[in-house]
Amino acid sequence: MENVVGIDLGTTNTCVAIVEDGVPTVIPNKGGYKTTPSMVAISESSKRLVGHIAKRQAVTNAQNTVYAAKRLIGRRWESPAAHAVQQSCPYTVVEGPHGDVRIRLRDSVYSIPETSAFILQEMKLVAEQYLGGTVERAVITVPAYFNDNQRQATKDAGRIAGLDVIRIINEPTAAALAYGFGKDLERKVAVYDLGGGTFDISILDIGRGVFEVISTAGDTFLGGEDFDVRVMDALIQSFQEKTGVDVADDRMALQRIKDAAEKARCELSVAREALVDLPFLYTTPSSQTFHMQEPLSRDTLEELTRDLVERTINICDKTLRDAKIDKSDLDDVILVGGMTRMPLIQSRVAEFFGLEPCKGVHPDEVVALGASIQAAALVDEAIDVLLLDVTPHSLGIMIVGGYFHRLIEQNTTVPTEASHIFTTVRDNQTSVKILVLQGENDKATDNELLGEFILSGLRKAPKGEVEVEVTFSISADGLVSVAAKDLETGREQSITVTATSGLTEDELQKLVESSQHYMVEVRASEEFERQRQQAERLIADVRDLFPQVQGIMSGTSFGRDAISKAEGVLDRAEKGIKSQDARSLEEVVESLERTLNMFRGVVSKTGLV
Amino acid sequence: MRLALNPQVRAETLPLDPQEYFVLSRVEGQPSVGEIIGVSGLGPAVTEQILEKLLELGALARVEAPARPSTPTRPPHERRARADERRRTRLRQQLAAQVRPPAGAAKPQRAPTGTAHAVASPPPPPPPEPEPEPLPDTVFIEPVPGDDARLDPSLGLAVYDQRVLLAMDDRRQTLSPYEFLGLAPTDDLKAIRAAFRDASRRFHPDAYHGRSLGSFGGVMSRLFVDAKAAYGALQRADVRAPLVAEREAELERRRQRQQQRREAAAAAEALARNEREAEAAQRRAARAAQRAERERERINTARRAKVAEYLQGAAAAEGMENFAAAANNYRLALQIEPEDQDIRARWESTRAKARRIRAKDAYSRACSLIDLGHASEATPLLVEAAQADPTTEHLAHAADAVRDQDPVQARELAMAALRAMGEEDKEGKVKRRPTVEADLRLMIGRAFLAAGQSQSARQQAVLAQRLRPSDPKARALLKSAKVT
Ligand SMILES: Nc1ncnc2c1ncn2[C@@H]1O[C@H](COP(=O)(O)OP(=O)(O)OP(=O)(O)O)[C@@H](O)[C@H]1O
Ligand SMILES: [Mg+2]
Repeated sequence: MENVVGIDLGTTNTCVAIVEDGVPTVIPNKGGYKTTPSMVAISESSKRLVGHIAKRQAVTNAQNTVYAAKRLIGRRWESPAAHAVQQSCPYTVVEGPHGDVRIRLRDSVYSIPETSAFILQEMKLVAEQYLGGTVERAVITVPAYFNDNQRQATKDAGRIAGLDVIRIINEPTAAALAYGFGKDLERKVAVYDLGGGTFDISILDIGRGVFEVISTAGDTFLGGEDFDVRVMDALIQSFQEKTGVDVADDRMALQRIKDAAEKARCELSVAREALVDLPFLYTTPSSQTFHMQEPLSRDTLEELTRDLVERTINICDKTLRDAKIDKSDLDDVILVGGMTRMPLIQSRVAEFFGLEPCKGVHPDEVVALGASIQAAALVDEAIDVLLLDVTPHSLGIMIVGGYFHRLIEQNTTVPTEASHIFTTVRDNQTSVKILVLQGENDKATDNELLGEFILSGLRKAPKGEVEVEVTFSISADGLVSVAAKDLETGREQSITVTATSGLTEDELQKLVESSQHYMVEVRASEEFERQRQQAERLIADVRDLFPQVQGIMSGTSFGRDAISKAEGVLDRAEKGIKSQDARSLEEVVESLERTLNMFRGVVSKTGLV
Repeated sequence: MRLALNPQVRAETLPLDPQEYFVLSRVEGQPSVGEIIGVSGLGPAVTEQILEKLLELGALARVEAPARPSTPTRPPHERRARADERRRTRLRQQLAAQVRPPAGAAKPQRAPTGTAHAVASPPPPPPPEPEPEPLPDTVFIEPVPGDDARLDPSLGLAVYDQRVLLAMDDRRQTLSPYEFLGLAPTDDLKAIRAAFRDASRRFHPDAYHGRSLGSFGGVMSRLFVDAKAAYGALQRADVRAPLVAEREAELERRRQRQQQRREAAAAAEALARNEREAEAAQRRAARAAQRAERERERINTARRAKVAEYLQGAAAAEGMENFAAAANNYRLALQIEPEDQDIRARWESTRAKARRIRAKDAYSRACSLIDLGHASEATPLLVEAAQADPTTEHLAHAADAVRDQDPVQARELAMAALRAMGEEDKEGKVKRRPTVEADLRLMIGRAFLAAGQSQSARQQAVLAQRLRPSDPKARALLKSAKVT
C-alpha cells in the first residue's frame, strides 16, 4: 500500500502520522519526539534549520528564526493579523509582490508557504525514514475557521514540499475522526481545539462511521501565542518597574522572555507557582547587567488571560446558538491542543458544556492521527469512514452597491451548490464582473476575495432585462467553482476559483523545483556525511597501525613502497573530506579499506596482534 | 450441485430485475442451491425459478467438482472489490425488501378493499394464504434500463450503481425527501439520521475517491446535496406529517386487507371445522345406534329364545295336563312379551284350567273327608276350592263349611255364591236339579244365619222349601231364622 500520511501543521508544533495495518500511528522524528516545533531558521552559514534545532538556536538567532508562521499563511499584507505579527515577532515581515506577507531571513525573502514547506519537507523526511519508502501524498489539517486563501496557501506549502496534498481537512474534524475511529459510536460531540495560534470549536454528529460536522466556528488568531504575549507584557512591565530598563527593543531578551513566559505557563498548568528566572537578561551600553527573577502564580496568569478564555467560550456559545444545538444534546466534549492543558480552560469548558471533557485523546496527537485516518479512508477503501464537513464561511458575490450577497451559507455541508439569478444594472451591458467572496460581512470588501471573473457576451438590452444565473458549487475537496449562465441565450461560462495563496503559478513552479534541488542536496550531503564518517574511522584505524607496520616493513624496498602508497591514500582521503565531494570520497574509502586490510594482514602474520 | 458466477458474463448487461440481480449477487464462491436459497430470503420456489433463469442466461454456471477454498491470489483491486461489495450489500439490503413500483406509476391494484370473500372452503382446508407482503421500510427506485446510453462500464463504478444513480438523478424533481434517503416515511428521527448516513455513503464523492467517475461525480454530488437537503427538511414535523400520514394510511389499508383476508380465512376455517365436527357427531351417533341395535337384537334374540323355552315348557306341561306348570310358563313368557295376546289368552285359559282342576281336586278331597266324617278338616279344602274356582257349588259349600268358625267369611262366600248363581242363571248354562239348588240355598242360608243375617237366611230357606217342599232342613232353617 502506498504511504499516504496525515500532517497536523500546527502553529507551534507539527505532527505526522500514518495508518499502519489499520492502526493510526504517530511517527516520531529523528530525535524520538512525536511532535516537531513548527520553527524554521537560517543559520549564519545559510543553512536551513527546522524543528528542534531551529528552536534551540532561536534565542541567539531570533531575527532569522520563524515561528508561528501559520498565523500569516494566506493573509494579506494589510490584514490586521499581519500587522499584529509584525509588532510582536522578532523576525522581519515584509510585503510580498502580490500584497501577500513575506519574511526576510538573512539575505533572502521567503513566502509563508515556503517556510511552511520547510517544515512539511522535514515531516516528509521523517516519515520516509520511518517507513523506509517514499512519501508523496498527504492529508494536511488546517484550523476549521481558515478561509480558502489560507487553505490554498497550505496546499501550496505541501506542493512546494514535494507533497501531493490529496485533501485539506479541518483540525477539529480530524480530532473527532481519531476520537471515533474504530469504535462504533453514535454520539454528538463538541471538539474544543485551542492550540498555539488558533481556536476552533466544532460540533459533530458521529454514527455508522459517518462523521458529520454540524457546525463549526473559531478564531484563527487566538491561541497560546496570545497568552504568551500577555505574560510577556506583564513580565516586561514589571521588569521595567523594578529596573527602569525597557527590553522592548532587545530581540534576544524578548525571545528569552517569550520562551520563559511559555515555560512558566506550562509549569503553572501543574503547579500553582512558577519562577521566571532569566539571568543576564539585559546589559546596558554601560555594561550594567540586569537579571529577571519574577515569580508568577497561577492566579496571576489566569487574571492576565481570562478574557482570552472567555473569548473562546463566547464563540462556543454563539455557534451552539446559531446551529440551534442544545448543550444537553452533546454526549462528549473533546479537548484538543496544548493549551487545553491549562486548568482554567478545562474548568471553563466543563462548566460551559456541563460535561466533564473526554480524557481519552492525546491533545497533541489526535489531529495528526485523524488526518492519517482521512488519508487512509480516501486511498484505501478498506477504511470505512466518511467525513461530512462544512464550509466554515459563507460564500457569495458582490452585488450592486458593494454589498455581499451570500449564496452558500456558512456551516453548509460540502459538496454543495446554490444558484441565484442576477439582472444587468446598466443599459446595453454586455459583460458582468463577478467577484467571489468569502466571509460574514455584509459589506463586500470586508470579506475575503477569492477570485473574480468576467462573464462577457451578454445580449445588448435595457438594464434589468438580461438575466444571469450564477451557480456556486463547492466540491468535496473544497474546490469552489462558479458557473454563470445567460438565461436567455443559454450561454454559459464557468471557472474554478483558485484561492490565492500569495504565490503565482510561476513562483510556485520555481519553488517546487528549488525544493526538489534542495532535497537532492540534502540527500547528497547526508550521503557525504556518511562517507566522511566512515573515512575518518578508517583513517584513524590506519594511523593506529602505522608505526607497527613501519617497523616491520621498512626493511624491504617492497615494504617502503607500500608504506609510501599508504601515506598517499591517507593524504588523498584528507583532501577528499575537505573537498566535500562525495564521489571522490567514495573512491578513497575503498583504497582506505584495502590499506587497512593489508596493514592488518602484516601485523597479524608477525604475531604482534 | 453447486453454482458459480460465470466470469465471462457481465451481470450488469443482462436483462435482470432487481430480485434476480439480488439472487445473483448472493453467489459468492461456489454455493449450493440450498445455500443460495438460504441467503436469498425469497423462499425456495422463487429462488429456484430465478436460478433457472440465471443459468439460462449464463450468468451462473454449474460446478460439478467440489468447492475449493478460493485461491488467495486476488487481483490488486481486491480492496476496491470488497468495498464495492460492501456498498452494494448496503444497497441490496434495501432491495431485499420487496420491490415497490415507483410512486406515481400505475400500481397494480390489489383486490379492492371491502370485498373480502368469505368462501365456504371445502375440506380439506386450503393451503394457508401467503402473508401479505409487508410494506418495506425502505424505498426502492427502479434503476434505469441496462441499455441506457449514459452508462459507462469503463468507470470505477458498478453499472448497476450507475443505473440506480441515473434513475434517481432523472427523478430529482419529483422524489420525496424520504425517497432521497431511501427510507419509508417515518417519524423516527434516529432512522432518518441512519438513512441519511447510508445515503451519504452512497452519494458522497469521497466514498469513491480516486476512481474515475466521469459525469457520475456530478450526479453523486447533486444527489448528495439533495439527500442533505432532504435530511434537513425531515427534521421538520410539518414536512414529515403528510408523508407519514400517507404511509400510515397505506399501512392501514394493507392491515385492513390483511385483516379481511385473515377473517375470511378464519371464517372458512370455522365453517370447515363446524362441518367436520357435525360429521363426527353424526358418525358417533350412528355408531351408538348400531351398538344399541345390536344390543336390542341380542336382547330380543335372548327373549325370543326364553319365550320359546317357556312356551315349549308350557306346551309340554299342557300336554301332560299339568295346567299349573303350563300357566306358570305362560306367565313367565308373558312377563317377557306382555303384549302377546295369544300368550296372555293361553295363560289365562291354562290358569283357569289349573284352578278348576285344583278346585275340583280340593272339593273332591273335601267331599271324601266329609264322607269320612272329618267335616272340620274338609273346611280349608272347601275354601280353597271356592277360591280356585268360584262356582256356586264351591262357594256355597265353603260358606256353609266356615260358618261356625268365621261367620264374616261365610257371609262373604254366601254372597259370592248368590252372585255366581245369579250369573249362572243369567247365562243359563247350568241346569241344576231343583234339589241340588235347594241344597245350595240351604247352605247359603245357613251361612247367612251364622253371620246374623236371618232375613237373608229365611229368604234362602223359603226358596229352598219352594224347590223341595217340606224339606226338614229348610224348615229347621226357617225356624232358626224365625227364632232369631
Ligand atoms: N502543559 C501546558 N500548559 C499550558 N499550555 C501548554 C501546555 N503544553 C502546551 N501548551 C501550549 O499549547 C500551545 C501549543 O499547542 P499545540 O501544539 O496544540 O498547538 P498547534 O497545534 O501547534 O497550534 P494550532 O493548532 O493553533 O495551529 C502552545 O502555546 C503551548 O504553550
Ligand atoms: Mg493544533
